[in-house]
Amino acid sequence: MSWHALEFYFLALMACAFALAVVFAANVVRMAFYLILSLGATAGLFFLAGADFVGAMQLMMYVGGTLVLLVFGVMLTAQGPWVSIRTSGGEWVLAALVGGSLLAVLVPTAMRLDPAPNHEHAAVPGTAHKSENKAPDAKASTEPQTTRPTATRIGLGLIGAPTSGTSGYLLPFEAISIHLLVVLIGAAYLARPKRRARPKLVESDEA
Amino acid sequence: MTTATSIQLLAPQCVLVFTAIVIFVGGAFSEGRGPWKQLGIFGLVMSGLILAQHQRAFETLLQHNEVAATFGPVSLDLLGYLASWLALGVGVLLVLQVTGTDARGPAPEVIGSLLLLVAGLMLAAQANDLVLLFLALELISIPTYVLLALARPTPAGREAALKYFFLSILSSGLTLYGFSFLYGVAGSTQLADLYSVAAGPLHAFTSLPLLVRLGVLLVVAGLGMKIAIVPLHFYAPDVYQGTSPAAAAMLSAVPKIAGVIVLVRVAAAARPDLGELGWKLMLGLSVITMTLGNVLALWQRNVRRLLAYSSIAHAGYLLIGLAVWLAVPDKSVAGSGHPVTPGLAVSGLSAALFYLVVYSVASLGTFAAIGYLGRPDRPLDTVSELAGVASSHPAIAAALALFMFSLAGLPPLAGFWGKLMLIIRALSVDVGPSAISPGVRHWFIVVSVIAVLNAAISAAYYLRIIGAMYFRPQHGAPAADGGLGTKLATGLAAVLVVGMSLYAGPALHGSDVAAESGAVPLPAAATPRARPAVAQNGQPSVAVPQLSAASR
Amino acid sequence: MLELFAIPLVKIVVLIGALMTVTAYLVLLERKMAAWVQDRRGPDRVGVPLTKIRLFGLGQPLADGLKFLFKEEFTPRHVEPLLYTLAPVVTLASALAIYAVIPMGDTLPLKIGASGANLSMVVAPGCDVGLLYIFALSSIAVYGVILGGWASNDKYSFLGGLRTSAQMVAYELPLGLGILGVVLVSGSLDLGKIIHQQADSGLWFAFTQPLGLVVFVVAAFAEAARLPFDLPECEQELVGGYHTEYSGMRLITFLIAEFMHMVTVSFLIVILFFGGWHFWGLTGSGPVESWGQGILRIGVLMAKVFGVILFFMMVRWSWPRFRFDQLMSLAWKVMLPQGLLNLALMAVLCEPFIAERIGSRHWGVFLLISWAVALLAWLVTALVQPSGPENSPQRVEPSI
Repeated sequence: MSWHALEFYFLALMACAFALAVVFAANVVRMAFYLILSLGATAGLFFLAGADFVGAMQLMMYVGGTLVLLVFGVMLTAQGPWVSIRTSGGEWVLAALVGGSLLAVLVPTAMRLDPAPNHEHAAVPGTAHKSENKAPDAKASTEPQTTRPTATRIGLGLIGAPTSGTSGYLLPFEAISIHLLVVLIGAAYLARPKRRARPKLVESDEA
Repeated sequence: MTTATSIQLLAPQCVLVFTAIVIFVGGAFSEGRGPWKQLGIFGLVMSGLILAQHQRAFETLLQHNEVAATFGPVSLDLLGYLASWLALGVGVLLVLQVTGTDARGPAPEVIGSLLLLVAGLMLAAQANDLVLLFLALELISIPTYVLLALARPTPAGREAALKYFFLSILSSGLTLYGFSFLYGVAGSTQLADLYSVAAGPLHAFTSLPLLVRLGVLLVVAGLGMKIAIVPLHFYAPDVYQGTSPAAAAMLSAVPKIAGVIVLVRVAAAARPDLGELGWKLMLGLSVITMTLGNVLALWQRNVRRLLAYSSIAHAGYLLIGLAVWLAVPDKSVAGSGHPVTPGLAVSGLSAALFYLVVYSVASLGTFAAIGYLGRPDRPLDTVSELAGVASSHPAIAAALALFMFSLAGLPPLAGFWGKLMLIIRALSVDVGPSAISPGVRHWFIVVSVIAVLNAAISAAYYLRIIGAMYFRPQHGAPAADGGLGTKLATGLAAVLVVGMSLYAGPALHGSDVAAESGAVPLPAAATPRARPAVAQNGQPSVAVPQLSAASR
Repeated sequence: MLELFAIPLVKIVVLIGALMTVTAYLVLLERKMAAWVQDRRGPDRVGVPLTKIRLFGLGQPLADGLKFLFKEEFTPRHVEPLLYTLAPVVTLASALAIYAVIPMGDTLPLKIGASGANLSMVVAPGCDVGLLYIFALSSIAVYGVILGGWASNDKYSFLGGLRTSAQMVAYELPLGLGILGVVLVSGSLDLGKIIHQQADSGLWFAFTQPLGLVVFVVAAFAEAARLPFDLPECEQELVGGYHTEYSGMRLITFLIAEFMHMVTVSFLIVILFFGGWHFWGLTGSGPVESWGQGILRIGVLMAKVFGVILFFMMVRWSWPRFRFDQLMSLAWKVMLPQGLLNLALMAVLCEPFIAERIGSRHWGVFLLISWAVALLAWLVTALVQPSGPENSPQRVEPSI
């Protein structure tokens, strides 16, 4: 077993273990903390696979962005000092069903992947498991660790390089920008304290 | 596809988005009321003019035996094209009838959001990629939240906005989850790839059809909330009641159209793996939806709540058409040995699309009339407030009665033709190949009977509204302060309903060709390929010359 | 094996040892500067242990460290034990991990291993997404503060945690916008490449992007929670902020991490905007050829960083603290638009000036335009004054 495989198993185990910890924990903030660790370990897997851009993005978006808001929201809305959540039996069944069905998609998808031809790297035994975590990046995971610039390749894939023949995701990207515009306008409108017609009035009659 | 063509393909949406941005920016810097409504209509008309330019491109493309103009995640086939016209029409009706919460008229953000919503609907109709399909659906949902939040500044209005927001997020999540399953199966986000995987042999992948079905089930669950199918309908009455008539009109039309079209796209791609699940699911949901919607509508006093249940019931009728489409084997599915009569395979879909158009116009007209009869800050609430409207506002009352009759399905109005088509096609399921087991036919006969019974039930509450208008003495005339826009929208919708009643041919034909093109998945962007039907039968599948008549 | 493990390990050990020592002495420096500004003596008694030699108080950091080390590890009964213990660790770990991609110089002509390349002064050389990595880790650092504040189960700590998260979330945007201009012009996220870019052209980004520099520096102050943005722990309002309930080693872990953030952003300011190890006519711009050149580059970089740290300390004793609403409106109404303006300006200017590598005489035009726009933006900001409601003392009419 090489170092690469060892690191892989360590990170994968960490991701899975903390994911389970999220499920079994009863305290909301602890759950969030375990989720941070699990997602961080997933980011580590990306770094290990040579997809450093995706790894950094995983850290920035999920760990640094989404979860901060989550913890922030929990802190703002918590009723007592230690909120604890109990999961009922029905929820367990439902969650197992939903999660199990996703696993049922991911495992065959991962099995279907052909190992890359010139791929005597030690990561091969781990490849299938790796793609379980993130099926969309299955292709990236099979790449051995390289020093090639990943950001450039991702950028070209996004806008659709004219040579590659793929269409790219420029249009969805633009559509997302329109989404964000509407979201910002809606948020600004909702958060605006005063009516626009009387900007000069004192705040006394508003409330 | 050259870049110029692809930009031209997206030009109608671009015009709408650009107009919306102008309105947003202009609205941010102007006090008081501006010409936003006019600007919105102008944008929609400009978009329509550009869309009309596609007409010629279409004809040449079809003559060259290519299915559609494709660029990246977008393809423009006849379903997408005609649905874009429907979206623009709905947009005009909505922009006309939208009102503000006071005398200053609608906020510019409302008009801008409406335009973006229409752009999203057009994009959803033309997407051939799961990513873009989802984004287009969100481009409809997110402006909807803004619209609902701005519609009425009352606690009920806020409750409606929040309720819709949370449930819509849930439905988006479900849809996305289903999409991820389909992606997992296909290994690509292109619908065409999903189709080829689903139609191809099962290579070492025994659980594939199951996964496709699971994915489609989740997508149906997600879209069911937007279409207001029964297990997921429960938000509709509260939201319609809490919000303004114009916002309710939008909810009754736009998400339904988008939901049905996206459902058709996904079902067309996943169809080879759906098996019997598809039509059974649709049929079951249809029976529950229309029965529950109609029965619960009987007890409603609030007009918008009543219309919410009515819109649920109409979603149920629609599903019959989809069930018929999924029950009759697709001609591209080999192995049955029985050639299917061209046109029959998609007749159910065609009926559903026709019904969708008829319902949308009538529903938009109804809400416009209700909006006209109320005041911007206090819309008309109960049915009894309509008492005696016939004498005080005869024209509006007549239009409202027309919409009610059409929704109830009284001959010779458009709604009647819609229901008739649905039932005829449900009854004609076994006319096709003998590959259909005889049991299927009985199911469809039972559902047809239920549908007819439901139409009878629904007549009761529609007639109640008409009765209140015409046969009850007036007490306290309604404010009728909705403004010129709502009046225009009512008139326009009335003209459309009458037109489709007396001269249903073009609309029927349009839904036929749209169904024909929607029943097969859109081709992938890189390889524009010939339509399977054309390749097999050797005859042009889509009647190009009639297209111009159908779309105008 | 040597290249894979030994060299990074040695680098890490040297780096962490140096960082800890330097941090300790920077604290002493800060205290000395505080004393200088306030016209008093500051710590000057502790010298060599067990002797009477005072040595200008240079033994003070050692004494402080020992004091923290031998203090009781007191855990209050009302805290959430797991997160209370982990919070300082998270903070310090993320603060240290950032240094994996920060260059401490260029290279040294020390050939080790088979590749024959110069010894890079970065722990993880050639990290293609260095800046993204720094951003990711700095956003993780927030967790230590938030979780520590929450786990302490104390209202001051809790408020400190809340304020921190709001402040960090708000100022990450201008921070990123300030950097984006640099990334756009240099075309890389690798810090080493960004320095080389500036060295090659001889024009530091501070000169070409004054707007971006100001946005970034202000945001950096806020991210490091330094005065005038030290609201997470302002003593007058929150006792100690998020670390009110901490003592002993855990407390000093927090304090070191916080101080290290300042050092980190100083490095970033120098590397991104002040040319890193480059100085005109002194260091050259190509690859390192001799030991002298390599060491000189390290020295130049360190001198610049030291200068920026001195600036940080001066600011601490020169400006009063912002109010929280002023902090927020500064972020959203001043820094965000200016950052966007800088980004748009760079995107526009990049096209004719950078893409085709026009000769140096056109750089004058570039500089002129960017400074004109920057001055205009600052002027408009000063005239509009969008930063919060008026808070100057106002006469209150006595009610009769």
